[in-house]
Amino acid sequence: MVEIISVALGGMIGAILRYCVTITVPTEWMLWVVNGIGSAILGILNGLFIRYKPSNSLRLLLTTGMLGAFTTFSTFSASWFALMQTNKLLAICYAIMMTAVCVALASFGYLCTAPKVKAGERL
Amino acid sequence: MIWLLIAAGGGLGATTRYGVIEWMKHKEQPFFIATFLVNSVGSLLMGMALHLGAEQATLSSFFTIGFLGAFTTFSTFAFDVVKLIEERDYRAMLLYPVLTLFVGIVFVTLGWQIFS
Repeated sequence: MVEIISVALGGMIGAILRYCVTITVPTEWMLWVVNGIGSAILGILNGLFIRYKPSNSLRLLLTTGMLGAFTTFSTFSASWFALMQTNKLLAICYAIMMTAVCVALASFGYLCTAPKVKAGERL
Repeated sequence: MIWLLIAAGGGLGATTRYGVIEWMKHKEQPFFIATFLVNSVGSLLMGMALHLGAEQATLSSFFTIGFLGAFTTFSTFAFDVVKLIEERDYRAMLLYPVLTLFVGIVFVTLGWQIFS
């Protein structure tokens, strides 16, 4: 039950924060901002969580709830779909770029905070 | 009013996603299956919701910005790929994002066409 409340509360905060970005940032940059920042913070937090083991409800509040709701895939699919109607090549480049940038930011955040692994050692 | 609707939709969307995550854990599926499912289903529903006009702004705020925005996720998708890189599962690392993007665009198109 505590877990569900944590996720719901995080989801509310994340959705509201995303809406704050929607009304302040130009529409074409909105998804880059929320998905980029959200992915970077998720990487940072997941790295920190290996060092400092937080309670399960705090983890769910921040990651599954807040960051999960702050970033969005459905709006991204919709904007990609809209681009496909005008320029297919640009639309495909847009989708690949968004994924590559967010994966790069998530791994950068994670590498910054996760405990260092010795060369050749596997986690 | 709009803030309340978005918060309610966001809370509900995140909780539903959490339900899918727990369900897939229970079925002992790989960790990225839940993310793949929510993003695919969310894209299909978004395609349908694209038909909501300006006169349905209230429903649209609750459902698309709130619920679907929170139900689907990009950060977990991106971090799933990071996890696959860390696990050196090179096949899944390439297939997972390609399939997610492909199914996402196919489903949003399908959702749009169902109502048109």
